[in-house]
Amino acid sequence: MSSNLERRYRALLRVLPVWYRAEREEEMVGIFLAGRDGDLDAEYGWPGWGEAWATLGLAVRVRLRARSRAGDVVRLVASAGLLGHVVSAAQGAAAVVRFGGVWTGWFDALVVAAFVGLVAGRRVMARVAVAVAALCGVVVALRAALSAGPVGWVLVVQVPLWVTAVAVLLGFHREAPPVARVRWSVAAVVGAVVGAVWGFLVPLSMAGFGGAWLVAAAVVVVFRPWAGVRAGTPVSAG
Amino acid sequence: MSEQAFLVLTALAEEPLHGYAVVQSVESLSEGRVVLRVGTLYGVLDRLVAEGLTERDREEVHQGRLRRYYRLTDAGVRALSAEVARLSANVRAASSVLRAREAR
Repeated sequence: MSSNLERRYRALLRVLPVWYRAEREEEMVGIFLAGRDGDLDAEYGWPGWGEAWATLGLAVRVRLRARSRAGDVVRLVASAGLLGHVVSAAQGAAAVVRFGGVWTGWFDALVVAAFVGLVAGRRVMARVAVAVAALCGVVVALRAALSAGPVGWVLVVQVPLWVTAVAVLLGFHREAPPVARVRWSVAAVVGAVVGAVWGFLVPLSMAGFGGAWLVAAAVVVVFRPWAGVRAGTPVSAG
Repeated sequence: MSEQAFLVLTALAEEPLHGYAVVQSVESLSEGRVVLRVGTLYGVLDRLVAEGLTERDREEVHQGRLRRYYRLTDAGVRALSAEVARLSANVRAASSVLRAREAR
């Protein structure tokens, strides 16, 4: 008869895909229980936060592994999202040059650094940069909410960033395949040039902000960077 | 190569081991500094198997529980040797710098 501890650990393992559990569950349960001791632990013990965190990490890596549909979609959302922010940054910078206004250079630098990190295979750099940008976005949204500011408009800007950040953090784990460097780089340059011309010619507005995402979507469709992914080679941890 | 992967390869260098023995060996090799969670161990093992550095050896049932053994492949031996050489070179370089500093 299985103990409460075993039942709790098996419940935790349900975050793993069915095919993975079919292959590994009994082995993992055996190792886990071998490291635990005593009737009290078997009756009242829990797997613990460390084991839960490690299992969740394993689940993300297995579910979003290279050549899996879910993994490929999440990584496309992450890369395209960062490209959209690069286009938006170019658009905003050009608009400031032409029409004046406040330039959020630090934010643009973060999203550009995240994109460059992704393309250069610097996974950690990309993850840290986009996470910092997203956290700053949370602060901006909270301040707008607390000061009865235009929360709706703030969210229109920040939600795409949060979605992008989550996709980067989940999709570009240690075993994730690298992105197609040349295709994404060319797409980003073309998108940034179009965004900059747009920002230089047309005063920035919410419609213009949406235009940056249309430009990003267009260059992604044209360059099809997902077709150039080299499967199997993980991105470096640098 | 991550420290965890290095320690798992080192643990398997002596003989094929099952998962729990790998966890114990890694803890012993690192003098208690690295304690692998089960989820972490399988992340490392999956990666090493995918890279051809380790492979499955045999399966046993111990006290009603499945034990799957893993062993180092020839590529794993070469990768571990290369990593040992790299780390040794780093240690020699650092030692040399420290000796020169102390001699000043």
